[in-house]
Amino acid sequence: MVFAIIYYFLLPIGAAYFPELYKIKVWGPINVGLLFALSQFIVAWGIAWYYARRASQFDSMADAIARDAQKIGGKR
Amino acid sequence: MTLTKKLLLGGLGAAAAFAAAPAFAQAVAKEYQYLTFAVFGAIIALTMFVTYVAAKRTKTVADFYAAGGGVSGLQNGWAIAGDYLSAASFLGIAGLISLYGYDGFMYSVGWLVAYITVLLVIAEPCRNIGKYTMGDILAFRNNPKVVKTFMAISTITVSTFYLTAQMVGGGVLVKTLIGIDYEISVIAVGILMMAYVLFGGMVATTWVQIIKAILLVTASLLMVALVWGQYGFSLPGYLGEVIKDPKVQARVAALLGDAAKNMTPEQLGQRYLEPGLLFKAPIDQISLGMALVLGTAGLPHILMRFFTVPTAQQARKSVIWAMAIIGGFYVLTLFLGSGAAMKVGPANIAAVDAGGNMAAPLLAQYLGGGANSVLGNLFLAFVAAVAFATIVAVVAGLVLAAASAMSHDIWVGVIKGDNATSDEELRAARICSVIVGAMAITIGILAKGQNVAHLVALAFAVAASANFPVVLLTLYWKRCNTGGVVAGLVVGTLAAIALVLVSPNMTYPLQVKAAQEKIIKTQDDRIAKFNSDVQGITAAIEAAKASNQPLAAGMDEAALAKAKAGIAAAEKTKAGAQQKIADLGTSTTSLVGLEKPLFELRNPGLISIPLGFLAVFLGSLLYRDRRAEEMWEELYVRSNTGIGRAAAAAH
Repeated sequence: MVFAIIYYFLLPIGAAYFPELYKIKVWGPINVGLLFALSQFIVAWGIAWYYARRASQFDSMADAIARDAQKIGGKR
Repeated sequence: MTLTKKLLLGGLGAAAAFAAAPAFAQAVAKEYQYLTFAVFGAIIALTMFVTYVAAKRTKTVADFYAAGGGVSGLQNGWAIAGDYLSAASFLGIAGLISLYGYDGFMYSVGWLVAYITVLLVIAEPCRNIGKYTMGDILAFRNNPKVVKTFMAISTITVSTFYLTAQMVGGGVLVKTLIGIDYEISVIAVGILMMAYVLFGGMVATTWVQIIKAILLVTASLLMVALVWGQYGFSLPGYLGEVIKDPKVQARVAALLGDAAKNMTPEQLGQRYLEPGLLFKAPIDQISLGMALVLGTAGLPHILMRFFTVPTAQQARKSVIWAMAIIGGFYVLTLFLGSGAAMKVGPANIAAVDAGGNMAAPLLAQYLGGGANSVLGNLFLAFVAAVAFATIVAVVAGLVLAAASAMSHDIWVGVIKGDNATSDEELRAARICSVIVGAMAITIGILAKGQNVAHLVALAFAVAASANFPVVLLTLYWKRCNTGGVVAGLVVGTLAAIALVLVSPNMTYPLQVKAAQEKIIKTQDDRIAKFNSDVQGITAAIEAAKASNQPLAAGMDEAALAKAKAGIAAAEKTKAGAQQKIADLGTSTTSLVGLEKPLFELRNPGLISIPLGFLAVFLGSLLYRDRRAEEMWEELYVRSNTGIGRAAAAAH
């Protein structure tokens, strides 16, 4: 979460204070700035994918707790 | 008519916003209008059929508010994407990219990153704790009547801001696209939306969102395939062609002004892919970014979507799908925007709509074969109909969110003390939908011609400064209580609204006057210069005639005509500026009586979000509430496991 937010805010901050860096051409007309903006999408998807994988492990724990709770006769 | 001529006419019509000649204020020529109506009719008929089916399934109040909890993660993901890809982001971002290149694309990134917040902190606990509204989440461990009242007010506030922007934007858009009057467009959007909400409730709203999102993605994919495919799907090859285009280079030169004088065409083209053409104040962009990233997780119509899925796992799955669809779509807008810039030309796009909203529809027209082809106009009509469906669907979601806050939180929760049967509540929810819907149509008509663009930013700012802090801290901070929630909602909402009222978003007559007077002065100077040119050239021509010499280059009749045309253009600009000053009348202050903005940020997020959080902290610490702390452990268990959450209705 923190990483995602810092990574995101680096984009406008970089564009404002280091425009020269963004202008370096990497691949034909494609420059660092364009690649950085595109990488934001990759990073966002990567975090989502990683979170989904981790969360599915917690799912089984949560299910076990919910089953136990039902067994001892907790609220519904 | 040629394309340029039609674009010019369209631009004139759009500029003279209330012109009584709708035939010119549109992107589709009269002879092809039947196509537009056919495509619109087909899409409306499809959504109406869905509403009819949904209406038969909407029997209980849970069906109406939350589609009975019977929506799958994948379906909900498409529906969230549909809710989020409003006309502003579909047409607006493609337009910004076409007009400003890189900065427009950079703007689109924040909209996706916002979903990281939704996914990591909000989606699953909300689904486990809440039932139908945001008020339900807060009421779990706080004083239900108090927090529901304040949360409902905040929900209605945020939804109304968003709604107003959508209604006005939609009215203008429909008017530009198919040339019907603004009022009729607003009423048509309103009535269709009411039909979905009233008869089909959340089931119909969800399916309309899904259909619309699928149509939107299909249309965009098709356009991108057509525009990118010509260059063998090579990214550098494609962008290389974009920046070689003289129309793009001319646009960059116009944006840069004097700075462009010493640049080669290649440099001008490359500049299109570099930052700084749109955003001049980085702090403003950071403030907007904060409002986006934290505000999305506080938007009632987005949070409401998590009550429609049966489990927290499905809620998570729906955000993952939504992120894939929304992110993929924003990558497509890079091609839509730059493609429109290359094929249609930024100047032509801005001529039809100054904000660039017509970039995607005009690109569709071009790709289909141009303004005089059946296929081109069919494609344009399809994209226009999708845009129309977008507005109606987003408005339906907003009305449902506001109406459920009104009926479920205020009427049932506060007035009836949670004692209402399903049938009673269903009736209340429908009545509230009619009230909110009628309000939306009225506001839409009243706000005709107003600049409402900042209202979407304001909706996000209030959501980020008021709704997000209270929901987040209720879910994750043990000591949070009723005092903190009320303080946070009040301070966050008022801070965001107050800061916008004193910000540069408002119109400041003295500043407008000064800017226009400067324009008049520049034009006067130009007129004087052209006049002396005219005299010089006339004298030179006469001297040449008298001595039977040939006319010198740059001193002939052509130059004379050019100088005279220059005078005419300058006079026209000057008259426009004078008209703007006259429009101001005698007022010298903004809406709240200010001569100049007190606060320089266009988006208040940077200040109002910390204020909202601070208010929740202070309010919670100063107010003692044993129940909130006692309930903490129950909330913690339930938000993580879902134990105690009502089982989803079987469908």
